[in-house]
Amino acid sequence: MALDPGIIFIGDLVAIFSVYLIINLSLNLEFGFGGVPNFGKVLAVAGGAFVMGTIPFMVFGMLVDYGALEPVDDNIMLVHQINAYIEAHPESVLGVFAITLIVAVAVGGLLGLASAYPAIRLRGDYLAITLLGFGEIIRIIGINHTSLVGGTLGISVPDMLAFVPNEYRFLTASFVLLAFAGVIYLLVARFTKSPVGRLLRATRDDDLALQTLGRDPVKIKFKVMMLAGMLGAVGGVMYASYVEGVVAFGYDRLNWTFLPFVMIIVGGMANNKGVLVGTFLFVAIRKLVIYYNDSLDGLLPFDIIWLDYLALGGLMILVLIFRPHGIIPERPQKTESLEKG
Amino acid sequence: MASSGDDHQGAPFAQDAGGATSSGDSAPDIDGGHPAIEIKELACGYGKNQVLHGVDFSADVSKITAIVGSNGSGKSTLLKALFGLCDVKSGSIRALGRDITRIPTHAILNYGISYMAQRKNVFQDLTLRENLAVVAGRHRADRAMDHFPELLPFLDRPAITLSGGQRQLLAMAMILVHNPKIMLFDEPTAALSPKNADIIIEKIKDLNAEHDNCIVLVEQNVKHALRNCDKVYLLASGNVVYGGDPETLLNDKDLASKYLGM
Amino acid sequence: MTIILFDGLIYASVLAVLCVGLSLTYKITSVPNFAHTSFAILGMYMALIMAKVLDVSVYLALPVAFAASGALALFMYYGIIRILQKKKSSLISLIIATLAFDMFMIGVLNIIADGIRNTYQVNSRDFTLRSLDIVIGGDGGLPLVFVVTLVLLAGLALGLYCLLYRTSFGMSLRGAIENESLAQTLGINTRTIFCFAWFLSGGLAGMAGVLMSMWFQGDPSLAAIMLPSIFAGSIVGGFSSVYGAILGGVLVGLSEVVGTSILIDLLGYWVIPYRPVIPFIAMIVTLLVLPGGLIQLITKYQKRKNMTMKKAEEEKEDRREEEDGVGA
Repeated sequence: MALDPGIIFIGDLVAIFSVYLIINLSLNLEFGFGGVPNFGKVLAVAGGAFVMGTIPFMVFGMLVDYGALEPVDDNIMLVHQINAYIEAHPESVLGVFAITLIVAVAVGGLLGLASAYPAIRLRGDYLAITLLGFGEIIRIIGINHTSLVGGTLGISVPDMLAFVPNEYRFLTASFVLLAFAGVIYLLVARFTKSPVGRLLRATRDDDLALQTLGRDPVKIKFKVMMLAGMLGAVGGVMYASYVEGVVAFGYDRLNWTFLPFVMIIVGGMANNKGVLVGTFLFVAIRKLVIYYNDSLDGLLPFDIIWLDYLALGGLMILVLIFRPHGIIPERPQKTESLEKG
Repeated sequence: MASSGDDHQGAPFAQDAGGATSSGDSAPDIDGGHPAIEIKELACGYGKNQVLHGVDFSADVSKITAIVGSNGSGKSTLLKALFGLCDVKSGSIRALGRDITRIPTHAILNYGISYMAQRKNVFQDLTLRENLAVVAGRHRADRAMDHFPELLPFLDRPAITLSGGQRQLLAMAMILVHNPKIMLFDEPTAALSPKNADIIIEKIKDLNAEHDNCIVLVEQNVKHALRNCDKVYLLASGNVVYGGDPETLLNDKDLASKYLGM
Repeated sequence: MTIILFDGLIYASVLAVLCVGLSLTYKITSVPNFAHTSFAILGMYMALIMAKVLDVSVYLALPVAFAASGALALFMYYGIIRILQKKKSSLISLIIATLAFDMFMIGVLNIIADGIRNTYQVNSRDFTLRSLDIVIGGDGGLPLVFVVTLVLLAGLALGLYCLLYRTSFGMSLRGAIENESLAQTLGINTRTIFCFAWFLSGGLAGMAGVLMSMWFQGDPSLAAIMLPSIFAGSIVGGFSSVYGAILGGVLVGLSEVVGTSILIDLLGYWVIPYRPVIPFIAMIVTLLVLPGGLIQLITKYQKRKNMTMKKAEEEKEDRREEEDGVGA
């Protein structure tokens, strides 16, 4: 049964919005509230996605007899087999997905810690360079380490909603993602309003004052990067399970580091509502651009995808110049930094 | 003074096309009845933080004018405003009869004014010779040392190796290169030993006597300042409290005890 | 063996030229420019256009790329960085702006690549112009690009020394970098000087890109791939020194090429794709062990010497003062 294109459009919009909302909330946590500019956001996201590309195969391996099939080499056949199992045993999904999420959270936390270790003591600019480097490295490993997620070709992953009747499957996925994103939004909002959240903001604004109060800013930053790494990995799992596959090439700087930065800066940093607005705005705009892509294709002597880079890069610069505090600026106790430009 | 063309050979980008020295030379006749510096209703500060609130100030040719006041009274800011180093909100600044209120800092030298900052007034990583070359062009660097024989042995050492007093002398040598008609000194004796402070003040007085320059001196050490100046301004929280000859200020028990701690 | 020698030295020299530009702009603006490699990619496409579209000597692309990439860098500095600095944007905002400009340039460069392919039917991705180069002494001889690259690096090192230490313009540049407001009060138009330095930095990167495409391959994706390498080079050498940048660039470039070939012998061909990990590790180790880079080893000694001299001068002064005091 073919779905109405409008429904597909909205369903996809909701799903992608949810994925980005999770990732952006995590970035806002470390950057907006914590002041750590994680230019390697893609690291945690890719980490989560790579977990989604490996762990379900391992866990289902205990339930299903794979025979001689290998997750990477016989990917399509194996996924088909697992999907058939899921259809027959829907309850298995709960366990498998839960285990996958737990592993992803652990991996994301570890990646956050690993990238924080050399970086956190460094000055702002060195910090940025190091974190960016981490993000590039994971992509290189993903592309080249074929047995992980299929290298350049990528890998398909089992459909966690294979038990849902076909006509509802698509919208169910969007709904599940939105529910996940909603829960995470509420948790993050509560966290940032709590005393710990205020402490985090204090770390960002004044390391020194915090130190004199007997708090170790390095420790606080470690924790927030770990937490953000965990959430980023959840975002990665969500995206990989939504598109039912992992292609290492896709985990690039534009989509999973730069775009989240654009979204939270345009929305308004250190402001969860701003993140909500910014994320929705950009996901909607990009969806529309892709939607009308085909009509432009052929008119231009180049691939339309590059306009995306032009638009996002240009827009970011304009926003930094003309509206540096975003659509919804950070409200309470706005502090002017005395940093020299 | 050498022609400005000399400068440009060595430093094609260093100065504005007009040439720093030539326009300095052609500055209007300083005996034309203008005070050397004339500031009216000046309000300025840094960003949102306003420091001076409507200051009137004038300094005459061939006189030493001192500005005194406590920390934060705005005396350094007044000099900075003259040199475009803080944001002027309203009011006007004229030097030798010409308006310099919003001239960019690097062009102000062209109006025959030079400024010696309180701290960081020499390039520490550059040698003395290079420091002078920055202002004078490479070929005239050595000649700028004529007034400062005590620095000659150090010409090829980085300025960071100088003692405090030597550093102030180098800074003075650098601002003298263009034969300015007006010289602004921001606490030139701060952090110097008494003897070095005396040397610097004597140099300044010599300059004044020799070249008939207008000198504006911001001083922390009030006694020092009053003893050596022809005219004094007393600033308090961004306003002029007194402007006139130093004796009257010293004799005004009220002002002296309130602002000068005497 | 010779091929590794050529590979290693050409790559190392190109990297060093890029690192010099990166360090120069970093010294001026205190902002690590994440768009620096895109200047080089623009140079690559200038080379492709000259060689394959206009059908002239690829070496003519050197001055053209210098001008084009220099202009691009100038635009970036004047049109973006300075405006943000005037608005007192934070360091992070400035870094994000360079990342944004990089994204923008990825779009522009890919559009150029697609445009060349679609308009002139010239392969514009993973292209190499190596076959167009002159080989001195016939087959198996010395490729001209090898000579030109080494000459460019040597000339750059010498030229920079002359510029910075032998002309008053260079001295003003050094002074303006150390203390911009002092330079301004001394009548130096720091804006013009910094614009020149940015132009130079971009122009050098453009030339490096031309040379790159004449031995290795040219492709827009190299902007992202080479970015960790040039940052590693600059940081290993010492980010705030142009001579450190040359040193670091050469070291990182050589260790990438030679190191990878040694690892291939030891471990097998699967290590090739992991080559970018080498500079990254070198960078992290440097930041943790010697944050000022290799040049710090030299400057530290120099700094200590300077402080000793300063102290001696001050003691002499104190003694004179005491003597005077006794005499009075």
